Amino acid sequence: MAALTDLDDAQLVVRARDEEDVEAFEELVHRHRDRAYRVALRITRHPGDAEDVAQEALVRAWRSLPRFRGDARFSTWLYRIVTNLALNRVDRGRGPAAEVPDVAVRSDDPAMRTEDAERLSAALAALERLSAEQRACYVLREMEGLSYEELAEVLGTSVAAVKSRLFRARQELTAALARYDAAGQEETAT
Amino acid sequence: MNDQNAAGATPVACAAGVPPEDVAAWVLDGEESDVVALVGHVPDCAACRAVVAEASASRDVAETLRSAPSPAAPARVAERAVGRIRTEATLLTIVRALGGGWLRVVQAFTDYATPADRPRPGPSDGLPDTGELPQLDDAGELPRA
Repeated sequence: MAALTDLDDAQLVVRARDEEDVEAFEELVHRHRDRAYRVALRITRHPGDAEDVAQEALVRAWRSLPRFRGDARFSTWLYRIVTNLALNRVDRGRGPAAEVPDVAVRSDDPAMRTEDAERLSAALAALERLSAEQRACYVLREMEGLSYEELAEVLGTSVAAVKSRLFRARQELTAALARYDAAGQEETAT
Repeated sequence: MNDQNAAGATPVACAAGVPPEDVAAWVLDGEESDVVALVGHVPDCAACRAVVAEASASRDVAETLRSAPSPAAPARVAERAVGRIRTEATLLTIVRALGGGWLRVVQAFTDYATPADRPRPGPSDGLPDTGELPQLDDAGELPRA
């Protein structure tokens, strides 16, 4: 019998769903926990909320497995649960985003390291200023690589709406980083 | 209505009616437009070419953001999820003989079984307080308030 680690997601889903194999689902949990947490963190902007959302999403995926037909990838289906829970959490309201240490500084050139790190920080700060829906759309497309059809399914909307949200998000982020770059050039010139 | 884009410029509209988001999706992600075949249209349309130029700048932003370290989930996320799932699966094996009505009882028990997982008091999540467990939709999620 093949080890669980040798099975792909679709095969694990079948075992977990049809044979109620908890270990098969646990393998799915271990494979997808990081992406669930990562997406939850980018949407909620708060590590504590992200942990709650990721954990809850994994449990709900287990409970809903009998209704999962397998038309979509398991990861896409999980993204939908995570995104809905994360957006619900944001809707409930919370104070300012917690500071999430994002930048690992590793480079032999201290000047370049600082410059890249600061630019990345500016980009991440701009990402956090987007609306929750725009941020979810952008993160799922640019950082998780979902297709437009998958995005529409995850977000419960149309491809046209996805295009519109992505367009606005990209405009805002591009403008924010352009302002950052311009400010940096002014500093260098003075 | 302010139609200026994020850079503060007023975009020229495409005569064929292609929305700028379609052009951006095409140049960045290869998504075709429903309005017109963009590969033939864009070279002849100043408005769409302007959108292409603006949209292309966002590639750099995306590259920058993708360079951010990817945070791993704390171990307790998987541990607690697996703990709840195992508890629920074990209890379900026992209570199945009692009939389907006990499913909700089992789920409620596993949700509250671990002290750290008990919901913290706070504002209502917007769902009606009927005293009943909320109904999950087809994807197994709570309806959004």
